[in-house]
Amino acid sequence: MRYAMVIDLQKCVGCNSCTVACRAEQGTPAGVHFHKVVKYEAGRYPNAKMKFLPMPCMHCQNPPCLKVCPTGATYQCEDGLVLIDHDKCIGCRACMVACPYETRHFLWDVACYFDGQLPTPFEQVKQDSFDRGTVVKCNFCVQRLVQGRLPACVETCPSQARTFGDLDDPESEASRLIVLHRGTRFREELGTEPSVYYIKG
Amino acid sequence: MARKKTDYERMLKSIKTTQEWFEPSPYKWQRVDPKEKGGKKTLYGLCRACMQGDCSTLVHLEDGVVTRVEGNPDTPPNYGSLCAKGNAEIMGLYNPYRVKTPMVRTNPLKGLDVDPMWKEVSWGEAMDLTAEGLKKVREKDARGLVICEGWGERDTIFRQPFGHAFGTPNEIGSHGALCTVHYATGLIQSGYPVAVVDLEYCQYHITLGRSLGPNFGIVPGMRKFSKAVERGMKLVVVDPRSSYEASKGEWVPIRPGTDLAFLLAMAHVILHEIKVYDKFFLLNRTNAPYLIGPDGKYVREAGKGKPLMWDDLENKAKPFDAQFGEIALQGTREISGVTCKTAFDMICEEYVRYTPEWAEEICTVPAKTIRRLAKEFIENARIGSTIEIDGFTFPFRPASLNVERNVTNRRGGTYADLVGKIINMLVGNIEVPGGCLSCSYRGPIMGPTGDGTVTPGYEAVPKPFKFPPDHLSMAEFYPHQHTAPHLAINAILNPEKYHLPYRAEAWMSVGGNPIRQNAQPESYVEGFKKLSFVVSIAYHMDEVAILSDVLLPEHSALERFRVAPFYLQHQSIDNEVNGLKMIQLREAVPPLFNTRHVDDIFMELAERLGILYGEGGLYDQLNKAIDWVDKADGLNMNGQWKLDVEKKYTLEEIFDRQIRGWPYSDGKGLEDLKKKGNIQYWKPRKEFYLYYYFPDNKTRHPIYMTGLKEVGDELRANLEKHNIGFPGIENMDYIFDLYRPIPHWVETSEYKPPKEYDLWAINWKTPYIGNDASNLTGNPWLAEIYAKDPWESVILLNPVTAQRKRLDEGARIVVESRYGKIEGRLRISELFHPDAVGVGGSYGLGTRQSSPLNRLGPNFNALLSLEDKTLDGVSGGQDTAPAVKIYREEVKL
Amino acid sequence: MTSWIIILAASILSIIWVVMFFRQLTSGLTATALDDKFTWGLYVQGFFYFSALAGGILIFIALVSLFEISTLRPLAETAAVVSFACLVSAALLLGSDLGKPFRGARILTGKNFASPLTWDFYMLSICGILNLVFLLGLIPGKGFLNMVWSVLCLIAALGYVMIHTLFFLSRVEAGFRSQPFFGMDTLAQSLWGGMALVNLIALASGYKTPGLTTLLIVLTVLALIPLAGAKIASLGSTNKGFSQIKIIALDVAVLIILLLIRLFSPGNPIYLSIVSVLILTAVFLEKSHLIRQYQRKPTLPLPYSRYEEVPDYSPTLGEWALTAGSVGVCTLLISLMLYLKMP
Repeated sequence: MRYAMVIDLQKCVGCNSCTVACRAEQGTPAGVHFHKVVKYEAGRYPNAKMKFLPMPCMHCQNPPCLKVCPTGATYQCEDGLVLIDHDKCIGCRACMVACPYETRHFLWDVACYFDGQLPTPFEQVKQDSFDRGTVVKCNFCVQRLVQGRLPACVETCPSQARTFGDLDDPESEASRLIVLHRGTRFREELGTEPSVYYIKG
Repeated sequence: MARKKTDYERMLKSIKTTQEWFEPSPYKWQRVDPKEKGGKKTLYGLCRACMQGDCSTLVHLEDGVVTRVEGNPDTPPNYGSLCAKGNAEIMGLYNPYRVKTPMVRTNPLKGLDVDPMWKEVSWGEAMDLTAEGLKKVREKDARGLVICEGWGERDTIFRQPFGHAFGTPNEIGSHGALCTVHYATGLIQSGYPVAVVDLEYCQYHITLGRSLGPNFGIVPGMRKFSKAVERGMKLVVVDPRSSYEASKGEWVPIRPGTDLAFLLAMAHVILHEIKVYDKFFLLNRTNAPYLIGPDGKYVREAGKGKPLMWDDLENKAKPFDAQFGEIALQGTREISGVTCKTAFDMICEEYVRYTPEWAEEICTVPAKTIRRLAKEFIENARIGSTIEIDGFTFPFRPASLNVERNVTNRRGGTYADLVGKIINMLVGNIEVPGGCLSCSYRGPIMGPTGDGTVTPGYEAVPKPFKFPPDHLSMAEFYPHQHTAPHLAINAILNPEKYHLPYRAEAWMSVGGNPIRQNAQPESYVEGFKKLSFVVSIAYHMDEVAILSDVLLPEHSALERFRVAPFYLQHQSIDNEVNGLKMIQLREAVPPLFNTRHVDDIFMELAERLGILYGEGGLYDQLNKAIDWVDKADGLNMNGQWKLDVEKKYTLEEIFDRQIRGWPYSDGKGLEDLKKKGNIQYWKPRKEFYLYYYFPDNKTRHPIYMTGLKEVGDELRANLEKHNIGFPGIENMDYIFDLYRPIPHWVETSEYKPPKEYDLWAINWKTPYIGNDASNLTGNPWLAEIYAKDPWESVILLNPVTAQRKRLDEGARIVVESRYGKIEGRLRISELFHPDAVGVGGSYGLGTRQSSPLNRLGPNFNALLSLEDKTLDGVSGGQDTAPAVKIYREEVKL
Repeated sequence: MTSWIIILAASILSIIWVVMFFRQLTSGLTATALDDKFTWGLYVQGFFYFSALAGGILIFIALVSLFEISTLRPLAETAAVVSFACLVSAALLLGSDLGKPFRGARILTGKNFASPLTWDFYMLSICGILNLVFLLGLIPGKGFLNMVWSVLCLIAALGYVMIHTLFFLSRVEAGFRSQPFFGMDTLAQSLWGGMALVNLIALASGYKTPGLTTLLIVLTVLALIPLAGAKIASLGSTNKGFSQIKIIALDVAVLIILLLIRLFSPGNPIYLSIVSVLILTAVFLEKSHLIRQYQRKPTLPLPYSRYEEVPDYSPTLGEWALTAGSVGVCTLLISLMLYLKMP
């Protein structure tokens, strides 16, 4: 079982539904997004286009963050997911310096969404697990995976640009797409071996 | 989050110190009810974060708190997906800037930055005051009440009936003046609101000034769009901006506001250079072969009978519905001494001068490109091919062209829309698979009039003339208008100029905010100050609320109980929803504050005013009402399920009756609806394309717009009869030039402006803020994202233009039109035409007491104009691309 | 008299440190000017600085012990006090930088031997213990124990100084803009700063060390080589040098001053003190340059980062206060230990 995500860049229209769905699902504090969509331009007028790169945590097979974590708070599961044990994290932020995808966030503060206001009931319910002074990141919605559901960003994508599946299964949609459309990975040359593949980019 | 301030936070801090601020103490949320701890519940939801408002959702509650809103899997039209706005709806519920309890103003002074000094009152008191205020107006002149609706409140069934029961014709919409896109589809296809692209079959689509889905984040549109792009559909986007959709196809940059020239040139190329068009369609399904006399009207049988066409075989004129050997498409003939030409000839003649070279000068699209696009359009249309669906043979035309608001909204915009239809008609793709489809009622509505042409529907049906006028929005002078808050405010400010025989006294706001989202906000504020009573059924403290006398707080979107019929989407269509009839349910989240459902407010108000029961009362009006969009297929009070006008009903009871009376409910009621959250009925797909009901030559689409001419002639006659000019316009011909039967080139008010106004400002909807359905601009989840988005809440400029003006990235600049000015931060981007200044989305203005996020960002609407001479005379649409000048902001010392 | 003033100032600064530390415990690291893009700032810089100085001094002491240079032994014993105080300051600063400072000991239980931080922690702890043992006078001037101690101390000190080169490894780009001189830079700065501090100690305790000035000249050249090399390697890149030129200029100035002193007024305590302080400043600036160099660029390459702002960092007053506070603690410790050592 080796989880991977495949993102179709031709279908992605940069609407950021994935980013907000992740926020809603995980209840991350203000300013912290586990997922981001990098937006940029390509070309010059009159041949210029918008371009988008949705970036969850890459859940690398050779994660630099795991290597530098001094307490072993960052660990890797059998199925390829790279997770953080918040009880062990000391907040040294070496993993953030090491990560080449800027995917980790340090909880400088667990601030509330409405500036100058108090935490809403949503925050009161959802943010118990966020510990100020530790590092957090995308966990491929592991709490949904154990229920047999897909990560929130995959389910919510209106363009159906995202697929999630088992790379060890050659019949799975994810494996099929990667082979059919020659999936590539972002900054592969760094040797991190990410689990997120991009096609038609 | 670190304490290093983001750009937005810095701006937030700066407005708190420079502008007057109410500085409310933070709202103390109640702690989770211990009884609810550990409880989990899921409700059926219906998203209301955008105009479309039909995505099926599931609302999850944990410990009594809404913790997740996600798409309902396997349920149309979104099948489990949900956009950013829908996911962020929770912040619309737990929004501390909401109006939480009824309030009454105690400070007589009004202004966007003036503290009304609210006094909290009970519901009884607030309703008493409102009823009293409205009663006074009704006794004086019921027309004095303006009910202003908008996208902020789309979950009411009683608003329109209330207006009718009250006796005021003045229900105006705050939203449509910048989006007057309905006339052409109503005239050509009897449809509403617009024509959309068939993403199931279309192979080649040219789109102008609109979105197919991705540009403003409409879920069903995005779903269909991605599938179409994957299967290889070619998309050509003609737009001053390289948008989300343009980045997935071909971008043809065009100077803002000049699309009419482009479209005329395309029509010219097809008619005069390529000369390939769907002859069968023109001869049998349009009025192109009709003979036109020198007065521009049909030549009729014996002067007053049916319109005539020429039979080339028998060499004589015959009425259009006779048997023909060979209908003549072209040629000048003499009938009873009168020289007449075919309509087609007249169009060809008119369009000779619209060469691509002529268009290139005006719109900057190279002549070569125009020719190429026209050629590709014709080639991809596969004229003559057919397709079989459910055993019925349709013509198959997998090419189409659609225009919408950024093309139609200026003087001559209706013409541009009509030229787009002409181009579609030249390949014969109206209401057939692959082509140009309307998105309203599916049924036999395209039937012929006595003259053989399509019966105009919806906004193509003119409103009757009356003098002095009844309507505050000047519907008598703009008989094809869409919503016209700008005309209403002009009439409030200058009643004599607009011949108004009464005065507007009261304004009732139901989700409409024209102050922020129309134009020239200062004029609106002035107009509001002239009103004697303003009541707002308010969700949050917006610009209208802060000018109100009484605030009646209503539920947020998640708290509104609703049963709604599914309308076709306005962007595109495909087999995911083709043929679907559906009723959807929104189960309400328990209300947080002392708010009420808007329909309960209406019922109680009607009761206090004595207009709830009896004939002509609220219930009676609801009984008589027919769904505007979907007609008999919508949720109406049918047959035995009509309300007893002497009894009191709850909203649930009314919805139950509506469901039972629905033609496709098969006897089910509200309880059945609650089981799955929706009731679906799938009609056969062949019944979806309107061609099915009137195939072959059973009806004719107007390509020569006699209807337009007739309405114009009648209006002119009426003005002359009452010896008045056209209000606000010096020379009547300026208006009547827009009522000619062949759409032709006219100049907008922003064409060839004074020399220093050398650029045009453009606006677009964004995936985060489709419209103002639940104060999305103030939603913090969306704000965090649009603060990081490179093309949001900034002023965008092409690099060559920026260099010419010597402006650097990040500079604070001022954009000034002849009607207003705004300021913002500059960003340089290759995605813009050199003549365009991009100010997207819906930011800015805000009030002293609104969410701080509403004060940020450049408010594009402040650049627009309310002046009559900038409008399109037919639809009343305002110009969305004003000529502007830009310069560096002076540093305040 | 002057010593009392110093002790008073150091006490005040120490109190400031305690106050700032507790303030940071309550408000979290939001009191700093750091954010997700620029995560290591003044505290980490201070940590590198103090541990570099301590490392330089420890290497000096280890060599003195290993070669049993009895003439330098008293100087080494005084220097050990300073190096211990520097290690404590480094630990305090690092503790202030952690999100969860009281969990710091988990590094020992983490057992992640691939992490440079783990090894750094081990080496620093060993150095601290060895230093303490030396301070307590448990290490004789010669013999087997002395040799073992010296070898361990040398390995540990050199070890953690070199491990500091690995902290930013993932940010170093391959190719002509890479920093092959990074390793040499860290070592050179450490030795240079350490010896400058030893020089100050020698001057303060009236010790005559004629060779020290020459050693400083050599070390200045050693420090200049990697800086100049890195600058040459980055020529032609569009990135403007992050004040590299200024640091090189300062170092060259120091070199010239040292040469002048050596030639014209060797042993002049005032000039030597001034130049030692200059060296310490130069090392501090170089550490500042170090942490900025790798964090001032957006992590994602162009064109993805075209619209990202360049991360910038300007330490808040609170951060300066806490850093100064740790210097105060260091000074206070030195005073305390010297007082205790004096008969």
